[in-house]
Amino acid sequence: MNTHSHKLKPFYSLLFWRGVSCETRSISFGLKAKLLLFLCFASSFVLAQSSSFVAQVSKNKVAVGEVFQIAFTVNGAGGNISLPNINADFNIAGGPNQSNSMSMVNGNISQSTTISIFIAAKKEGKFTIGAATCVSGNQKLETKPILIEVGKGATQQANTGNQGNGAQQQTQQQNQVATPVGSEELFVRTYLSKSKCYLGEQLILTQKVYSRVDLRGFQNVQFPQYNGFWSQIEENTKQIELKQENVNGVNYYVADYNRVFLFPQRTGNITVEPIELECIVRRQTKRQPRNIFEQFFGAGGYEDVVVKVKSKAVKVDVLDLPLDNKPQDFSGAVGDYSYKAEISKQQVKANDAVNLKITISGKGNIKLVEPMHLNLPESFESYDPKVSEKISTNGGVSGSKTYDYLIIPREKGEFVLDKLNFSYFDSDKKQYVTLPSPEIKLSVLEGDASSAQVITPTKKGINETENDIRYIKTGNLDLHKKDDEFFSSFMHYLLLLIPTVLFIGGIVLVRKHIKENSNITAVKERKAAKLAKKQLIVAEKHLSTNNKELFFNEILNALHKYIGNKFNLSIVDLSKDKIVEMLLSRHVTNDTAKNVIETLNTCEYAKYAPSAVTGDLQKVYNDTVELISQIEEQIKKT
Amino acid sequence: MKHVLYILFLVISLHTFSSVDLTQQAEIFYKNKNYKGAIESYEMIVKQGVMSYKLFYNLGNAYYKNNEIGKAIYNYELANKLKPNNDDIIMNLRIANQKTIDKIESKENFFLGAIKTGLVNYFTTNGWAWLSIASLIVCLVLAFSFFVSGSVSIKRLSFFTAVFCFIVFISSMVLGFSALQSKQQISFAIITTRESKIHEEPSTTSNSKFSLHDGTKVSVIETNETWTNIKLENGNEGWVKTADIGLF
Repeated sequence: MNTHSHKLKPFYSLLFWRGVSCETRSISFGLKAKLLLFLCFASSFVLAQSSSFVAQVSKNKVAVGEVFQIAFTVNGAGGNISLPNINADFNIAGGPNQSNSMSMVNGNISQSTTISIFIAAKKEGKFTIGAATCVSGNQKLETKPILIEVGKGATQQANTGNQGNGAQQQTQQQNQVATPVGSEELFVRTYLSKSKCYLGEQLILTQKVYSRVDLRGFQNVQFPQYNGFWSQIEENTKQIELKQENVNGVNYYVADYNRVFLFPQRTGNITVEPIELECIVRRQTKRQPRNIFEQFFGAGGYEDVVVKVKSKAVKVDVLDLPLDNKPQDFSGAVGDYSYKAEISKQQVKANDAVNLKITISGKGNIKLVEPMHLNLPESFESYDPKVSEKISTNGGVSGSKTYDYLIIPREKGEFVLDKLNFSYFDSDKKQYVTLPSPEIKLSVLEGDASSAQVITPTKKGINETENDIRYIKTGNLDLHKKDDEFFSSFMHYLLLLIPTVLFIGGIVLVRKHIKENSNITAVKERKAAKLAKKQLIVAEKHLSTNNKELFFNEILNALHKYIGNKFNLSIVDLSKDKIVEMLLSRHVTNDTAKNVIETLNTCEYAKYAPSAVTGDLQKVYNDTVELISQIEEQIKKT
Repeated sequence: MKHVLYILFLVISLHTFSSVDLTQQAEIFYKNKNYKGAIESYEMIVKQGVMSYKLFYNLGNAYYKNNEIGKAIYNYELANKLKPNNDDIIMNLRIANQKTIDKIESKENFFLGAIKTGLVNYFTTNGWAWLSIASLIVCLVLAFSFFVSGSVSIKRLSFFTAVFCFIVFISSMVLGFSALQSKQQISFAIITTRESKIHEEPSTTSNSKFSLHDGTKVSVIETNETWTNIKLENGNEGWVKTADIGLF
């Protein structure tokens, strides 16, 4: 796109009136000029025009011999126009013609001079039409050179399709009903504001219709599917304006058909599909009038033609947002934002609601901004926010989004709500920006008891704390050598061995003791009768010598020893009750037990008063022997 | 000679940086979010030839915070090996594993195998050792009372509990041995480089089959100083440079 223009500072602009000679422009600065300027303001002819000098061609792709127009236009004041030499490559078919125009709108005077020449190329090739110069005030203005591509002559017919140079329109005009519209004359182009952008960054997609024909309107517009993007079409209340734009030296009327703001949703190369639309073009029919009436009324002189145009697909490379320094609370906002948080009350009773209003405003993908996660104290209950947004699409998506959080503090106390940071990615500076949270203080007073009953404590917060790893172990790390493994170590086996040894030793000892004990008692038991008999033999001796005292003493001894040995009792333990108990426990009959006690009593009595003893000593002796044998028998039975 | 002595002294003094000092230093680094410093200090302790589950856990945390997920997971696994079933280790390991790139479909764990590893990991080897000692002592005490006691009911009770304790003792020894074996045997590895190529053969010239990213856990079939034969949970096998992985 080349626009050949040279702008002049307004200071050099001069009042220009039709017919004013060139000398007027060469007035030197002085009193005269000041006076003139003064006059100019006084008469309210405000001059705010800058001079420009532009060269234009009607076509820049032509065929040999095809006549086309080249025009040099001075907007504003200009003189001494010198044209480039074009005779070498082109034949002059007409001109040069000069035309002047002047208009006055709301006191602004604009004036232009155009020199146009009709030329035709002599041969094929690429030719440059050099710069033309003119003088405007103290400034020398120059046009930019124009490149003309000259194709083959009449053999190369311009097609009506999408490509080709469309040069030979004139030759076809005779055959066709209406002048077909070539791609040179009418096309649509898709522009993307950037070819490389970040995820979520705003791109402006512009569909421009370029035309050199009489464009009447559009129909059947097929907008592309913006796959991979979140799109927002610019609301256009105005009518489509036509602007002039110079493309490679050819002037076009350009209509910005629509603008779409795109926000890429995924990374990689994304293609924006082309737009397809039908343009209604008014063309002059070149056919012969069918009858005299048509000719007379001019009907059929113009006809609306529908021309389908399609843009080319555009590609954009979408980069992922940088991972470095990515804030933890980043939720995908890209653009330029400001952020505000307000609380409805500074002081509140427990269980009464407070409104926390968070407003995010700015430019960018604001519609996609997620509600923030509130890090509230645990005794606070919060509900999903009410979201309201105001979005305008004028010159880019911008607006504000408001989150209304309803918060109910459940416990009294002084609280500071912090950690309400908002982070976004600034696509211009290519870095993350974290807007710190304003410090919000809230004092919660004791609430009414009645409303406290509806408490439903939130348990959300517990799980969410596990998003980060747990803290390191502080203090002593209990370090140990790499190879000191306790299991299967000597120490382990030793600790297993010691109790085993102790156990075995203990068992052995206990066994031995039991054995010893059981040996003694068994022997004693076995020998009890024998010992008793020995004792009785001694008693028998005393019987023969009739020594009563000794006799009873021996009998008593024999009985005591017998029972003591038999039941493993010491002499001290031998009370009569114990003796009976022992006897009965070994299944000795009641009678025998009674007899034993009687005999013992008799003997004890006789021991202390031998003279009082009457009766047969022999019988006592026999009874005692009898008793012992009875006890032996009865014990053995069991 | 003096110089040599001096240098020797320096080297020794460097080596004998007390691990307590290093621990404190690392703790401060970590607290001040200087994770690189914390890593350095902990690694110095590791180089001293000592270990503990806390050390590896802390080192894993420092690596995690420094965004080196592979090394973080490796150290958590080391800690987990020293102290199975620790809540903190398992939690952090799980969080770190969520950040790994490779998602490998794992084959279903056999039920019995899962129970066995679960049982083996129920205690540390030390735990098994102490359990074996304790159960043996209780068993012997009860057996003693069985022999000594005159009362039939006490005899009966102590007999059955002693048998039970003996079973506990035997199983703690068996499980302890297999825990010890799995502890000393290198059977797994973690990829610790950002991306590591898996080759068909143990040489750089061989074709690389696929690549793995840091934090991925693989089984080790065989390993030497330069190359390790690994197997993925989905059955894929290949050779990887030993320098790219952390064996445990």
